[in-house]
Formats: sequence, structure tokens, C-alpha cells
Amino acid sequence: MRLLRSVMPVAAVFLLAFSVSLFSFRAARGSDHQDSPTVVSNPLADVTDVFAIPDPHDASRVALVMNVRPLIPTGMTAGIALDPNVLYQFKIANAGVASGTFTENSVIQLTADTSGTGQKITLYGPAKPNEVGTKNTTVAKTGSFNFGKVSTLGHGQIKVFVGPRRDPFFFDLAQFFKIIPDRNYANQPSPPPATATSFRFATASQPIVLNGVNYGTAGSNGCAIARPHDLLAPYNLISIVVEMPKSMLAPPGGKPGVIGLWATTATPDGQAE
Amino acid sequence: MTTRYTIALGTAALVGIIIAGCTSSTSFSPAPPPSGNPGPPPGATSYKQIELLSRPAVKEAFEAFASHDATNRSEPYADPTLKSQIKSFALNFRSNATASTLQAVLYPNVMKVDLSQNTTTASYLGYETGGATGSKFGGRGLDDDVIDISLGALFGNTLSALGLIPDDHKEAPCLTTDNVAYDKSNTQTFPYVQAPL
Repeated sequence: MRLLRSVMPVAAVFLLAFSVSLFSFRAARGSDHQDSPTVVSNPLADVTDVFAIPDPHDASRVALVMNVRPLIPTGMTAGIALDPNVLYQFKIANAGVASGTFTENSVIQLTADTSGTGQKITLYGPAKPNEVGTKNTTVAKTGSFNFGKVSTLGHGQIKVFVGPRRDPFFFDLAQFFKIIPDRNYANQPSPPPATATSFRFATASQPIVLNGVNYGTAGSNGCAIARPHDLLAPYNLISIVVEMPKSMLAPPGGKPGVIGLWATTATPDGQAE
Repeated sequence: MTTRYTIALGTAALVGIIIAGCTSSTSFSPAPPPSGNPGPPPGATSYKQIELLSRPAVKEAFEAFASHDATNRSEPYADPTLKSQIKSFALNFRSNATASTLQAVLYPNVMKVDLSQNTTTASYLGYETGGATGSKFGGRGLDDDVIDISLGALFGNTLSALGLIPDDHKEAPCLTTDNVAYDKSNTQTFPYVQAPL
């Protein structure tokens, strides 16, 4: 761990973050930032995170969030919007998830009509998909709205927003890549050996207590002692947020129950475009 | 791990819920194709999937980079590579029982959300753990520390604390938290995610 401290001072972390913004974002990937060559070549189709949250003021409503276009540096969001060649989808299984059936039977889809922040975005669904699987067409249109504006569709029941936001993900990504170098896009196809076996702890006296069990301190475990850093902190992205009554995600004729949720992007030829 | 995610030792009822969840997660029954849908109009554009994301840090942590493209082009319940790699990656660090339990909890790779819960609080893996992570709603809140939750399961004692399996005494304390906290300010009003910097 002493070696690690000597080769990974805090300054180097800032340098790394800076280099990420300079060199085509090749060096970082977070929760799902830059996770395959295909999406690296089209960051507008790169889904970084998915969230499912109740409306904080109304438990009868749920908001689904899909974030795309990772690593937009601070102050650099101008002109960045959805890719008109990409179909953005939330896929939902709502019949039998609790007993092990995960087939999607509801979809929420979005497309944009043109490039740039003047684009109009169309929302489709939530509705039964035309096809189960990874090749999809759009379902019936619910309505259209402008990029960057909170809008209401579906007879006032669906709130939508697509626009620039701060990346909510937080992770000491630089250290993770030292622990598992394979996961860094920039290390492909021949990742180097690991150079760390520990995340960074600010002080040797930091206690490590897990679920009520005391594992000693960072120092007593030989952990790396250095300042941890959220690599995503200075970056923005594009958020897609759709909020609706939970009842819209209920199985046919049923009440809202357990759903399985995932997000996808797709293009007409299955390439990055 | 923050106190919010400190998981109390499970009661028998809680363990029952979790074990039932694990069992059900190990298989799925394909549903029939959708019915009652008029289908796409003639000549509609057919889109082919190139990216998939559900639970955070499952593909990214457990699966080799070279396999990500295959996962990205698959259904999360019919993935050709992820299921086996969850277990094989975990076996680098943990016992067979721990690796198998992680596989059962994390595959199929879908985010579970219990919309029947009358709550305004999301909590990552809350459905799978019977509310032990904060709320039975599950889903994922913007400030949920999904990395520490995941690290606690892979490198810590979370699975044994939940009563799922005996402790294998292979914890790696230095890998159980990345020590970064949420410092971003979400709004309480739609669209919730913080305005750009």
C-alpha cells in the first residue's frame, strides 16, 4: 500500500480527471459509462444509469430516469441533445416478476426528430410492445415535447423532461480501474495487471464496520491511505425522465405490483450510427 | 457503508422473503407474445438493441469488458454471458456458496420495483432484501450508494448478515467501500436530477 501512496497522489487523480475531458473521454466509465466499443463510438446511445423513484410528494406516481451521454465537462452542455437515429426505451415486466417471469410486457419509448437542442421528442407508451426481444418498432404515440422543457402529456398524467443535468452517479472510479484494470475502456484489448488491492481511505484510523461487525481500521487492514475522489463530480449528462401514475405500469386488469425494469438504446442497423 | 445501509440481522420472516426471491430469480417462464396490440404500421423502422442497463455495477463489475457488447445486445433474462460470469468473478474472492447466492440475487439482471408499496422513498435492492436497504419499494434513488451496497455484498458480510448463507470469512475490508459520498443536490421537484454544472 505504501507503493500505491507513492504512485497515486491526489494530484494525479486531478490530472486523470482532466485528461478524461481532453481526450475524447476515453479513460473513464462509471456505473455504465463507456461500457462497450459500440457505445463509446456513440455516447448519445450510452446509457450511464437507470433510476426508479416515487414522486416525493405523491406515492401514487413513479418517475423513471435514464441517463445518457456521459462525461460532458462543466459548462459544456450547449448543443448536446438526443440522437435522432436512436430509439430510447424503458422496458418493463409487470406480470409475474415476483414468481420469476421477466418478459417485458410494457414499454416507454422516445425518439427525437432532429439533432441539436431545437429537437422535438416524441414519447410512445407506456404500452404493450409490438415485439418481445431486442428488435423493436415504436408503439402508439403519446405526444411530443421540446428538448430541455418540462412538459405534460397523456391528458395531464405523464410528466416528461429530456435535457442536461449533473451526473448523479458517484464513485472513486480511478481507484476502481487500478483494482480491476480490465473494466477500463482505455485499457482494451490488453489490460495491465492490477496496481491496487484497496479503495482509498482518508485516514489510517478510519474504522471499518460492516453490518455491525467491526473489522478494525483502514490502517490495521493495510488499506490504501489517500484522499478518495468521485471522478464523476464535475460532469454533466443528458437525463430522460418520465413520471406517471403507477397504475399505468400495472398488468392488464390488475393493480400496480412488482415490476422488473431495464433501459435500452437501439439503432436501425444495430450499429452505433 | 453509511448507517442507512447498515443491514440488521434478518428475522426469520425476512430471510424467508429473501430466499423466496432468490429461488424465483433463478428461472423464468417466457410469456406468450403480446396480444391485443395492433402492431407497427407497414414500413415502420425496426431498431436493433445496442445497449442495455438495469442494475448498476452488475455488468460493469462482474463481467469482463469483452463480454459487455453481448450483454448489451441481449434480453436481461436471456443473457449469454453475464450469469456465469457473476459467479466466476465472485469465485475469485469468495466461497462457492457466496458466489452462488450473488448469482441468484443479481440474475436476471433487472431492477425490481414494488409499485404496491405506499412510500415516497426508493431504496436500491430494497425489494430483494425485504426492505433491509431502507424501503421495500426497491428501485433506485438518486442518492442511493449503489457502489457501497454492491461492494458490501461482494467483498463484505452483507449476505451472511441477511441470513442468506453462513459467513465464509473471506471478507476484504479494504474493498467494502469506495469512501465517496453523495454531494449532489437533487431537487424535490420534477425532474429531480440536479441542474447541470
